[in-house]
Amino acid sequence: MAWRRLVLVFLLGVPLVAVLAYGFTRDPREIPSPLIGRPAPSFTLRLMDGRELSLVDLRGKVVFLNFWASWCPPCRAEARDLEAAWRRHRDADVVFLGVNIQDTDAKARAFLREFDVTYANGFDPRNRVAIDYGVWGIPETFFLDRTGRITYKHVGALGTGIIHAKLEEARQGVASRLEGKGEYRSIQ
Amino acid sequence: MSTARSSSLLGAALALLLALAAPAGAVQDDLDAQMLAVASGLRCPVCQNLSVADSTSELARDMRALIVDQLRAGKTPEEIRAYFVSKYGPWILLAPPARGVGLLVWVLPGLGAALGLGGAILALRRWARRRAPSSEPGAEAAALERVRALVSGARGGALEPEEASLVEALRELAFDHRAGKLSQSDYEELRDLYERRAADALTRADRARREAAAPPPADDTGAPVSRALAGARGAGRPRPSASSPSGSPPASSSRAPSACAARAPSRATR
Repeated sequence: MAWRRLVLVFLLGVPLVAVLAYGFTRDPREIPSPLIGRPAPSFTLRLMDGRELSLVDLRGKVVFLNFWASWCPPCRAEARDLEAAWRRHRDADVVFLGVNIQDTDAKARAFLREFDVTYANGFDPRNRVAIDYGVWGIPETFFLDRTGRITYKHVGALGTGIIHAKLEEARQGVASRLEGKGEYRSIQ
Repeated sequence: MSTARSSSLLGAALALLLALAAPAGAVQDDLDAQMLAVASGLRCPVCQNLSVADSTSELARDMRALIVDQLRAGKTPEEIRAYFVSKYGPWILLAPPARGVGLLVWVLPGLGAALGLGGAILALRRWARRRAPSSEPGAEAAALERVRALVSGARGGALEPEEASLVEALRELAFDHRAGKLSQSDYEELRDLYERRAADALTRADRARREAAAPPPADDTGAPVSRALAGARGAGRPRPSASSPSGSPPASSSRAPSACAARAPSRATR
């Protein structure tokens, strides 16, 4: 009688505790993206210098699309690496494009000046582009191959090593199976 | 009920007034209601357990504006939901779709409730069986019949010592009652008690004889039950009756519970 009850408690309790323990290992804020391998949503962005840029115009080039805000520490952490990677790849049919979200014009410009950013950056005042890309934590980066397909998505700060590797994959049109994750800030 | 009706009447009257007075405003209200219906089913991506309708975050506000724009553009609520799912995955739906892992969320609560209810019924039934030793009322009635027959001496036969003492106690009880030593109510109470005990003893003796004839079952649930019976019988000892001239039940009857208790462990160890 006693051992039978013990077995029953184990049969019910062990899976329950296992499920709960597994839950603790997961980030409740994380939203798995369905976008990898799919065509990148098109948009037109007003750039800092007043010009307009459409994603369609970049067809045929590998695109590095980065969502950021000046108030987000991981965005600051990766800013220098991003600019360094841009300077290294700018002649190889690669376009870097920054999308500033949930920020003010002045602070965004100050951020770009501070890190001496030379690649194109634009505003997304009503989060339309961000919602279209399912953004929830920044920095959030999308790698697009020459056909305009999303090959990789990374939530959180990027380092030069992974930028080079994923740009190379995008150049060859290889889509990653999984998205990457680093330190991020949830947007507001 | 009446307030709800009057408020809904009021609401209807207001809606009618608004529709007559300002058609554009009514359209806006309708749009807002549709937007809220969609937004309340969407999970805010930057909150914890808040819908897009309830969240005050900037992203949720922009999502609500986007829903309104899409409704204006003639999209159905279903299409708008599909749009958000295509961007954020099924994660964004507050009610997960009933397939794949999402099916678990729909099935598990019902399953859990059914299991819990089943367990509760099982536990209750086991508990009831411990309280009332013979679960079949027919068998109990038959055993009581046999006890009465034995007491009135209509049927003899070989009796176990315990049965014999119980039958003897019942006879003495009847004698005391006839002699006027016991009031009618006391007599009936005690008689019922002893009759039930004797019936229990008979049924148990029968079962023991049957089990001795057949190989004993592997199940060991009998032991705690009989232990519990012995305990229940000990607790159910009749209180001394104030109206009884002798002040205590007949001497032989007081042996009955102890006899039961003494016998029960011997069965339990078998």
